Amino acid sequence: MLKRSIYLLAGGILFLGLVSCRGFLSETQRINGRIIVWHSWNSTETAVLLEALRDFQEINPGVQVINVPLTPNELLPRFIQAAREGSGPDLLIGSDDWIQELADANLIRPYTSQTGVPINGLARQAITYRGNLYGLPLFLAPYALYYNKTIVSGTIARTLDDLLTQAAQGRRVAFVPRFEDAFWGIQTFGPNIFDRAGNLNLADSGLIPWLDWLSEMQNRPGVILNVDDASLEELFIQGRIAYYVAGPEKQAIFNATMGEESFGVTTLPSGPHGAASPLLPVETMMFYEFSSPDQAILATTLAEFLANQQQGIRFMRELNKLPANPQISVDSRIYPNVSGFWRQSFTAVVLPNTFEKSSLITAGNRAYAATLSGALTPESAVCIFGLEVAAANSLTAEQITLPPQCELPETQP
Amino acid sequence: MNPETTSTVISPTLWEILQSQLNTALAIVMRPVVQQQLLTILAILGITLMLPELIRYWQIRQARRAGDQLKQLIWWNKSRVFIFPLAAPLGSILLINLAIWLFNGRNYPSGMLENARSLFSMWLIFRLVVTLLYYRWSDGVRPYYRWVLSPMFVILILWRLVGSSVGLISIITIPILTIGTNAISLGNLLSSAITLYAFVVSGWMVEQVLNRTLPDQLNAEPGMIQSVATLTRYAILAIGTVFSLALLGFDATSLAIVAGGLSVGIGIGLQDIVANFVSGLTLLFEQSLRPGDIIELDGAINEVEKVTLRATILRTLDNVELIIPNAKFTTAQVNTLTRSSRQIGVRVPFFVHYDSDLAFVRQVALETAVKHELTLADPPPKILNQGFGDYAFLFELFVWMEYPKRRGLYRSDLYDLLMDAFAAHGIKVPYPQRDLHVRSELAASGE
Repeated sequence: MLKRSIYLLAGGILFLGLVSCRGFLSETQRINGRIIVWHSWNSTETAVLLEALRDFQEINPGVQVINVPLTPNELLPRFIQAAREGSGPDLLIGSDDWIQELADANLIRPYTSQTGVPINGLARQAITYRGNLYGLPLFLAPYALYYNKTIVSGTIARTLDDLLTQAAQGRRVAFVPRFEDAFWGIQTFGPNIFDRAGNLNLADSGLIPWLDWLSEMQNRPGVILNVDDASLEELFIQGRIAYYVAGPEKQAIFNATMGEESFGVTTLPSGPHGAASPLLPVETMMFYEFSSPDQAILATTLAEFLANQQQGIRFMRELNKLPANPQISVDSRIYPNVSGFWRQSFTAVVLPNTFEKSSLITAGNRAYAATLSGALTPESAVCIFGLEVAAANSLTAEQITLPPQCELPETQP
Repeated sequence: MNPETTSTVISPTLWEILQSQLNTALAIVMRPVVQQQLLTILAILGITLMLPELIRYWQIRQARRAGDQLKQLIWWNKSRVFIFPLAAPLGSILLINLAIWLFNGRNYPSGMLENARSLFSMWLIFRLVVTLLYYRWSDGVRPYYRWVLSPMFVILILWRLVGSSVGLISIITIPILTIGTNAISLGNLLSSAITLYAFVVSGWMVEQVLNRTLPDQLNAEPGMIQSVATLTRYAILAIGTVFSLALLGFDATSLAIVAGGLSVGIGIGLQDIVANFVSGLTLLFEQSLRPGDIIELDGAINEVEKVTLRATILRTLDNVELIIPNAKFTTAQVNTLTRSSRQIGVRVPFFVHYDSDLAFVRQVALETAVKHELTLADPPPKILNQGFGDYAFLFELFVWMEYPKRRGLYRSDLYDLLMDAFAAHGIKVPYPQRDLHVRSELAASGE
């Protein structure tokens, strides 16, 4: 037993010693080694990613990229678990919504540019947290307006009034009335709920009139507001809905079920105050905090490769994804549907990372549901929303403005 | 608002997954945080695996120093049963907790250490269970330790390791062979093998339990109980086989096809085995042969040791084990000496001189017979007169005893006792003799 223990110990130390020496040797050959990439892309998307990775490895023959596809539901929890062990992927492709949680847990590191890849301004806001860029944006995914070409043969609805008129004429419109999914209408009735300084501005934002409009319109003929997105998607595929508000990820489903020529994508309808401003989800490449120094360099190099103009065009061409690289201009004649999302991205907004996003979304969903169910007036719902967000984020009176007759509780000295 | 993607994932081949896992392991082990954790775990294992040796060394030193005093320490003698097996896992848990505390203090990832801690905890529980079982039942636990506890522990550890590894679990879903239209994955094979193993072990355990508990509960014959236990074991095994095949994806139709194919093979090449198998079932159900029975087969007396499905194990009077195919017992004549009763009659022929007092001879012989400890009083011994011999009266002592296997020795003992008794009582046992009559007239005449 004693001998076995000594052999075990000596073997382990020798193994780790050899591995460590290998690490030192690789200092002289920088672009060399193995890195791991995790994502939740489907099989078609993964195939295109593998093509891109093969190109990268052809340019950098000493690099081996280990591609690990996971299901969307398990990607984040698996990453957190593995990252805490030290075995997380060097590059994680996921939602910008995860940045706060992962950066707070010290599981991702800030991105430092190596080649100066240009970054979309809004996307930059989305991935900026505590003054650092936590990742590199890959794709943008704003909501836009899908329409069925066989039903909408004439003029496409450009304003909310057009939309209601056409709905009354039988061109039904449908969308999910939740905070994130129906954020787009706030600026059609007034300013955004966040001002330029990132403070929560509910006093004169468009949120109350937007909720008021939604509450009134939900009973109009031809308007379907339902939180069951799968049902709405099915209705659109069946041709029972003319207009449907959704993100770019639905294109693959509609292409497969309806055919590329059967539907179009355009910008969301504007309102009395101006253009619609949906939220801008950003699919982001995040960098693992505890990669080895060599792996960290490789991961950054790979991320910049995937975010470059040529790869962005490849992903747009093959997968109808909207690249985040601002150098890419989307030609509406070649990519008519992607160009709808591209045009929409110019008026999109992002939630500031100074707020805890989960509290914003939870409180926002409650406000929408309370208004549409008639439980609260829009003013009361927005007041409660403001108070909940203020409490969750410890906002002071200077950081938030509330609707009339709504006040923050006095803080105790 | 996460961009949704469908959950379809590309299905790589087994080789690609293994390659990917190897590359992933090599990529991960390059990281300083991983190296630190692995080194810590190895160091802890190295130290704690040496711990029992260190304790033993300390014990020897103390014994040398204090002579026999250490042996007199009751607490030590009692507790060392637990200290030796539990020292390593307990020490590992203590040290790994210390390591986790140090890593967390420095904001280093400690997930691998935490995983190791849970494995060490499983190790401790396993060792504790085994130790308690050994403490209570001593070496009787050994087969359970070897065939039940150890495999369970290994499976649990492997399951834990595979479950925590990203991607490795997908290996079990990849088809590795196809039978007909049925694609069998590694997961199917593993779960089927584990299920079959579990049923085999369960069958064996149930047989052991029945053999131990039924005699007290039912007061039945040992042979009967063993037959019931054996049949129960085979029934469990049969159920396990069906379950195991079902886990491989075989439905009733597929099984019927396989059975049809097998039946051809059975008809051609396995008829002897099937004949023995069916005979074994007949023997077990009919109870015509039971362990402990004494039978006469091919002129030799044997005791039945065990009846299995294929063969029956007999033990000769010379303590040689014979494995006889069961078909022989259903096709040949077998004399059982203990079928309905274990009492057998033993005949001991003897003769006495014509001058003897026959009533006295009977009395002495009967008294001598009952002196032997194996002779039953009921039915009582008897003396049978067998008639007039050439030179003596012929008798037969007929006695009953319950140990058929000892029949030969018993008869030998009785002869010894009879000889002593006849000698003591002056009863003559004549030598064989022939009277030769010579006619003198013919000799004198010279013819």
